[in-house]
Amino acid sequence: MIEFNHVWKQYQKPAWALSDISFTVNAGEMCFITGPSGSGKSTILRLLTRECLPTDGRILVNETDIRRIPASKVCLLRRSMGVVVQDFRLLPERRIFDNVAMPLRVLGMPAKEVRRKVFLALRMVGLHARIWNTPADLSYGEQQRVAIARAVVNNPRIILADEPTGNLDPDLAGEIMSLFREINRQGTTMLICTHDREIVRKFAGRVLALREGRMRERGPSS
Amino acid sequence: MTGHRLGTAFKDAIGHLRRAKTRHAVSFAVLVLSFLMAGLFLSLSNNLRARARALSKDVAVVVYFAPAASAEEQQIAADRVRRSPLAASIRSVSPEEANSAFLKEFPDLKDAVDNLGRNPLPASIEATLRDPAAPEMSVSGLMNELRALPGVEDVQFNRHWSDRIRALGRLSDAIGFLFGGLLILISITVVSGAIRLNILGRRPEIDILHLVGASNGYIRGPFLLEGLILGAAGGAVAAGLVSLTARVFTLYLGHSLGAFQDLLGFEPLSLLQAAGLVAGGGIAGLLGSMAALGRVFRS
Repeated sequence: MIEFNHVWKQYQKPAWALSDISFTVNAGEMCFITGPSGSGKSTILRLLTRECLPTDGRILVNETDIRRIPASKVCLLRRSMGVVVQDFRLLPERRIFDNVAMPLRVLGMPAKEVRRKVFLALRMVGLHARIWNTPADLSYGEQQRVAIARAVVNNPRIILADEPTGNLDPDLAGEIMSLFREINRQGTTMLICTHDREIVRKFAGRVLALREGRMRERGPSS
Repeated sequence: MTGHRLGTAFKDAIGHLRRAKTRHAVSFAVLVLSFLMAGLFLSLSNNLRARARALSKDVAVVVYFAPAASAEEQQIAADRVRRSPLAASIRSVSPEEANSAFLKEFPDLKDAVDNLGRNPLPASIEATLRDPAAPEMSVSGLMNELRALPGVEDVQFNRHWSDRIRALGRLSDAIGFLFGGLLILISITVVSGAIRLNILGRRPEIDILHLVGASNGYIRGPFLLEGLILGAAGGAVAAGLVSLTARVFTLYLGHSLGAFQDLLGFEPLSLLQAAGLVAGGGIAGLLGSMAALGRVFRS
């Protein structure tokens, strides 16, 4: 599903953001990438969404070399993924419904189908009763659940999460991770970047540890 | 873009326009002013062209006689004109007929003529041409011959007037294009600035749209439509104002110009010209949007 093959990434000389990274995430797998800030976790996600290109090496997503995807087709790659980020990236002046509906509207889906899918996604994260509220009416934990609903609303095969619990207290973080576990059980491949090793320990999944852009350890979480 | 997506983009564009009212009001005002300027000169040259057309309908060589010219001298000149293959018909105009035609055309000047105590207009003959577009050379030859005849004071060819008025029309077009064009360039810059600020203000939304897989067309569409709507509306208002000016000017201001009313009047724009202003506005708005999008997305 996701394959990094001797990937190197340099933003500015002489430092390397990633050095010779190789790993594979299989379909339906839940995989954590851990490491301190600046270790290269976010760069891996940016490469996967093709916000940037690797300096060297090959990245395959669904058996497609992302370097070979023309710029005009990058949007199709992104539509196959759901992305959750630490700061939620919700539009404060729009209703929860409109925030979650964005990926579906981009696809040009009919309004009736959009309403159905948004409702189902919000029900999955337990926020269907707040559909007409704005993000400001919700707690941080609820806002992150809205962001997760937006990520899953068009049933992507892959979910990428960058520090999804970074702004949340341990209880809320646990709730969010349980939600990810549930989404993963339904067959979605998950790649979660986090610096919180406690969270990783609680949830079974493969762990890839990064430090200063290099892969330090691989293996299942304990 | 499918109908559904176009509808969504249109709704988004209207939303953008509503959200940044002041910014867009300034762009709109500049657009209206630019196209109003171009439209007014166009209207002025419409009028000049209409006058030139009216004049060229009866192209004639006019022979003016000296006050002391005898009837025999006048007859010689008339015979010479009749013999010319260029002349279609000939009409003698007595000083009295000339005076009454003049006063009919310029009633405001009656007092001035009366104060002279005599009729200042000479007797003349008007020869219409078989071919109104006859070559200048052949007409000049006839005119020179007539000028040499005794009792003839002056010979004029009124096609020169229509040519001069046409040239004025072309000058008005040129000034309109120059000023209007300059202002339209400024308006494109202003629209571009307004839309650029709009894009920067919506950066978070654009980032999310990129993240969820929106194509460039999906993101840029509403901004392009925003410029198009703003520009076309500006062009339409300018076309309306030009029509209004053409009517109001004739009703209230035109008479104060007296004899110059004919030349300095405004002729309403044709439907095609009005549509041209609307389309021009739309294109200016679109160019402004494209410039803004190019600058923001490049950075």
